[in-house]
Amino acid sequence: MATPAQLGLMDAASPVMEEMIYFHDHVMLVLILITCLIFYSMLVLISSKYIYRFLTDGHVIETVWTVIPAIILVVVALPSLKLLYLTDELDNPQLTIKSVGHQWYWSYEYTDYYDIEFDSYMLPLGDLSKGDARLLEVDNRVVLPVDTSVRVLVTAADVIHSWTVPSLGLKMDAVPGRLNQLALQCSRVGTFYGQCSEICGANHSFMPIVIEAVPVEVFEGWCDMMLDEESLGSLNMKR
Amino acid sequence: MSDDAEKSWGPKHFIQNTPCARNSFLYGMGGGAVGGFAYFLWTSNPRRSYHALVVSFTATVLLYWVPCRYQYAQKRLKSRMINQGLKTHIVMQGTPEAELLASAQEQGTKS
Repeated sequence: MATPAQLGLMDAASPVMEEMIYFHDHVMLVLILITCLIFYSMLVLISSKYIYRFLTDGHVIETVWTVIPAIILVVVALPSLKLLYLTDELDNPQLTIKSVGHQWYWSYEYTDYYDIEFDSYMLPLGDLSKGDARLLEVDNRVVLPVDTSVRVLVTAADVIHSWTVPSLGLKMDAVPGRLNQLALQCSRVGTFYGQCSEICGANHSFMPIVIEAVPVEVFEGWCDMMLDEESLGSLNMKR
Repeated sequence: MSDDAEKSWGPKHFIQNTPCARNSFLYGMGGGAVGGFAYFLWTSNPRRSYHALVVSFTATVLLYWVPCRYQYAQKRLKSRMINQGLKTHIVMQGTPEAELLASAQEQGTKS
């Protein structure tokens, strides 16, 4: 999750997010160079004691300051478009989960192999343990196998929400009556947090998303646990 | 996250944590100084020498950054391929498919 006063991007946990960070580095360099050039131009103009009263046009400089920004835009746009289409690519997903936004919680369905459905509510302040993140922890996390291509189908049951996990580079609007598709692949084991990103009412800030990426064997054990009849009542599950 | 960890932000964060950034700017500053000074020796015009310094700085940064990031991307791709190959090898070890793959690779290296 983000650290206090963090300004930069979170560490990447998926290949797509890594590519976004590299693209960010590329564009940041272009912006720094442009900013240096602008500051230098301002300094030169301010420090100059000469002025040309009869200046009306300058064809050469006008051509230069049209062509160079066009080239800069192409240099930025080409990797941007490549990344944009990369985020839409889905490589034979091995698992499909559904994420449904409600006011004000998320519900998840794993219906590929078994019928596993559960709701995910934010843990209130009184229920947090020591070390838990305020406004980010949930009662039931989304458990996924690591290094596995997952398809997430995002929709909503009432108003528009947005399913977001910044460290995986994921954001998709959950629109009622529409099914949006996300490609997800966690490249490392860990817990990744996100929050609803579309204003959806009074508790919009209090419906977080928590993804727990675990080894495949642990994921299988979790599925068995979720299917266990005895734990149904304590997990706010439907079956 | 340690409370004692130094928090950097802005250009310092970018230069410290981005691959190729530190060297790009160091070479850029050096190249800019050399370019500006050389122009001054040639023309004895301080104002235009500063312009040459800025242009040399920008050009040197870009000339180092682009190849460096390209090589970094190539290394990243190779490391991903190696990791994937190792994982496939571990998963398929002892299976008939692994033997078929090994023999196909041997034929590929011989040809």
